[in-house]
Amino acid sequence: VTVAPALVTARRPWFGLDVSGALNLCGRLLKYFALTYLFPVVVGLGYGDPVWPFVATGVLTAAVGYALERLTSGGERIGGREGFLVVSLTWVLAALSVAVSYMFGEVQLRDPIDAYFEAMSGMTTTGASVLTDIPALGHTMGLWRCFSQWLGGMGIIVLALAILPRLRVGGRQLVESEMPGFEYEPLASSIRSTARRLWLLYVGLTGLMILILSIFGWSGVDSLMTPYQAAAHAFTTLPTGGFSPQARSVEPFAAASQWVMVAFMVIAGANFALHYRLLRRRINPFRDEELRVYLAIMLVASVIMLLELLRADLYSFGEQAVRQSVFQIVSMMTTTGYGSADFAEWTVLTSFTLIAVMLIGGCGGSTGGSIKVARHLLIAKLLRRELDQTVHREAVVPVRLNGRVVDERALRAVLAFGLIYIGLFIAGALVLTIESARAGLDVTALEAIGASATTLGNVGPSFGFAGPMGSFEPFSPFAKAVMILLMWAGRLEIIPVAVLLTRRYWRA
Amino acid sequence: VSLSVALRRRTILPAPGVDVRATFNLVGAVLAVLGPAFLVPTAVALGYGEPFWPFLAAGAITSGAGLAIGRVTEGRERVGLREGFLVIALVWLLIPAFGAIPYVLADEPQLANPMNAYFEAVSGFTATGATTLTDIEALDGSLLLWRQFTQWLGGMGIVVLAIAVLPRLRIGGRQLLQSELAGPTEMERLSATIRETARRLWFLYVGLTVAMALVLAVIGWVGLDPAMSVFQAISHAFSGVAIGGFSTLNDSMAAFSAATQWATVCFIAIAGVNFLRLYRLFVQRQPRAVTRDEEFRLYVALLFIGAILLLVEVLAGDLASGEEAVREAVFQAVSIMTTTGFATADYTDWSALAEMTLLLLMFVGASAGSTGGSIKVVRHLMIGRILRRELDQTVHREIVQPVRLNGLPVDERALRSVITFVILYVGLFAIGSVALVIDARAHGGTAITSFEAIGAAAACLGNVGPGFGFAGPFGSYAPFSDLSTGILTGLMWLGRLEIIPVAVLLTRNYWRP
Repeated sequence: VTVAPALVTARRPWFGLDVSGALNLCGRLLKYFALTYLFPVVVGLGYGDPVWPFVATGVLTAAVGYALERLTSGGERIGGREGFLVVSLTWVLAALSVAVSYMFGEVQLRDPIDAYFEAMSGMTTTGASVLTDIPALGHTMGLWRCFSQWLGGMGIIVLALAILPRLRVGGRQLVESEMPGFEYEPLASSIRSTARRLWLLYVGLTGLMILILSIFGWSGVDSLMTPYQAAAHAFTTLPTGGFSPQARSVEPFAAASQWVMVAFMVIAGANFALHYRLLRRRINPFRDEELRVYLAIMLVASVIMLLELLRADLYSFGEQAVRQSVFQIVSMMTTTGYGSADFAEWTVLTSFTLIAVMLIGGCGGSTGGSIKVARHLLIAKLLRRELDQTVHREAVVPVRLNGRVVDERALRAVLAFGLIYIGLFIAGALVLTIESARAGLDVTALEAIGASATTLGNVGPSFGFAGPMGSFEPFSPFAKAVMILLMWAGRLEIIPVAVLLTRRYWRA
Repeated sequence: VSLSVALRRRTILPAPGVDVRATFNLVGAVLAVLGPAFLVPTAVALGYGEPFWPFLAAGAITSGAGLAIGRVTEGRERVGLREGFLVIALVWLLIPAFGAIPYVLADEPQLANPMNAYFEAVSGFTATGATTLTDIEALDGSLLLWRQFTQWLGGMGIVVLAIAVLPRLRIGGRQLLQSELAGPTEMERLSATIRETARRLWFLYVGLTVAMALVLAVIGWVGLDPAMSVFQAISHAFSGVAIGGFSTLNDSMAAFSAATQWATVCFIAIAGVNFLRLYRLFVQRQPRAVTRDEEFRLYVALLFIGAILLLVEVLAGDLASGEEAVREAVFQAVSIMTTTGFATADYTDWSALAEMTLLLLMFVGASAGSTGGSIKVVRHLMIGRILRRELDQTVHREIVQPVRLNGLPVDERALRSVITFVILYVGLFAIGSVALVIDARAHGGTAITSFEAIGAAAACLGNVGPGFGFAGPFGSYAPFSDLSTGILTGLMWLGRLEIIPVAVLLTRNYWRP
């Protein structure tokens, strides 16, 4: 404490936190991010597509990152408080970089807002698109778009399993799921150790999916499934992204391919720490309460979908009806956003079921977005305890998850997260309705609600013109900007963004 | 055989931990108290030369049923904490059922459907103001007055009335009072005994109603408003102070002059303030009790913001100008936010921004301890502070600070129950709107948009009254199917009781010994 004053004034000149260190780390991350442009360059050379947009953007990104790093200092020393800023800024900057590559290389994305929307949708693994003619992108740009989601997914795994639990965001520490070792490590090295372990798993799963889909292609089970398509869809399934190089999402693919996608979406929407532990030692994953509820909700929602599809005579009973209902539920609940059919044209009940599962989301520690199953589970348990305590004033019962007592402070954080999420969702729907009415665009309440839920939950498609086969292009620029903010806030689990808006965060 | 053995040993149906007989005993007593209320419309019917027997019969049935229930359950006069929830839930289910009897007996074709009659009665007692009537003016004067009177009876709370009247509830009434009185309020300061508190609340309530009726009558008498007769003055005072929103006219408040509308705005804005604090202002002459209250300040600020937003939209849309524009904006903002439901303009024709503003105001609600419904200003205030603390604590983990209201730390348990309420409220609203949309599509008859469903669910759960679209302020809930009407009735009931007393009835632990 005696040495502190001089040090503090030296390192924290303007604010109560090390802004310089945070920017330094952002610069470094951006520099590394520039390396990823090698991928589209190589692909572009292979297909004979123009590569200059990627080279230019890569160089530009590296230059900005390098400059940011040189102008600031102290990135290695940052603590939790700076973490919020780093996390929030990283997504903004990475999406900015990708947006630049779109503006350089694609006619449909010349408009900066459109390009940034598409880029943010990619980096946050949302899957909402403003493109109206996706096949016109060409091979390289089409694959780069999918690859950006895969990169976003890598970021999210680290975010979900190393950073947010450490920052105690939204009660995340209880969903934290026992990744061994990082609890006592400093932030930077804990990120590294988690990243090493889980990226390998992530890459492995992606490889496996590419392999299976390619085999379907070679063996003639699915004539449309070229290795290119296999890779593109694996890149967007594992991060629960939902971009597809196809004009009508995954509708044209064979039933077998769609079932494989369902399986991988379910995996991607489950806790990656659980997968990791499953690989390391023999455990029974079904003893995990969250996973059980996750699968149960999928099952119930699929049955509701199936019954409604049959009732409305949209399909007759058979494999196809089952597949359509299961696929859409899994796709929406894991927040992937593929469509194996144009569900925007189905009934009201199916729309509301899909919105409901959108608001549930995947498991904690997955690449999926939205509120997450664990939080719903805890909120339900909390409500039950509250009601019990209303009658039995004296009762003091802890809330348990997987048999372990959950800390009261974490519970409060879960409640706060739930409230802010719902608040933001409603605010988003209201703003989209008002803005669309102002811009003279005919958007129904259901479409506005769907667009808000789908962007905040990082799902992808909405209803009406923004459905799975549609596009977000008709929305006004302001509405798109609002949705960009929703995607960004939703991906970062809101709290890191929200704390940046409090006075206390910046004060010493 | 094994079933009967099990029944006898009470393994299948164990004795509940709730004294159901004591519960019914109290419910019976409340019903018996309510019986004489039917004398008011009876007198009006006699005065107007309209059939009075429906009211007399309904009153006799109500009192008779109450006394009969009391007889059957004799010897169980004491209710405890647990029974309170069941009493409140049952009272608010049964009283409208008896209150609907005159509607059914009166040979009124618009209310011949028992579901619609019950909806109208629930909408009355819960002071909601939603109606299935399409031509209100076609009703008899006595029936119209009964409609207004039910709102007045329900506004302050039937159980609060019972506590003020029944000597047996001197002890144990606090729980009941707190369950029925809207929102988290502190009861102790008003008076030492709960009975005295209930009496003071009713005293103030009656006083405000008389004042409003007088003001309106004078406006009519001096010629400022030719449409304002004594009958209209009393009718609108009943539904105004109760924050109900029923009107005796098809055009709601639009039928009256500017002076009447301004007077009404003032009274409903006052009725939306915490009555415990109003009592200290008006009777104990402590104006600071109101002006220093953080909830009151936010309440006024929100009313202003809502009114200004609407004013901007009214002016931008060229819907009105000058004093009229200000009046329309202020009236609609105050009426919807306090959950009254009177209207001076058809806001369903307004812009999207104006409609969304009104929808949001429906979720704000009036103050705790007022006659208004919805979430209530103080809960929003607490939620805001809870979230702020949560964000601060996310960054600065070492901070331990209580959430304060009016400078005093609020108990963590109270904060948790606020959050519980809000989550249940939002959840119910979502379920309600989805159910309405699905039911409307299943019946295929009425084309109802999602927005109309959302508006109807919000308006009923928040005890506001008018929604949007066909259920707007000059419209009617008649197009809804019977199932939808039932759902909306349930929402009004749940909203009036603030959900939790009903929700606890659904938990297993409530019924266990």
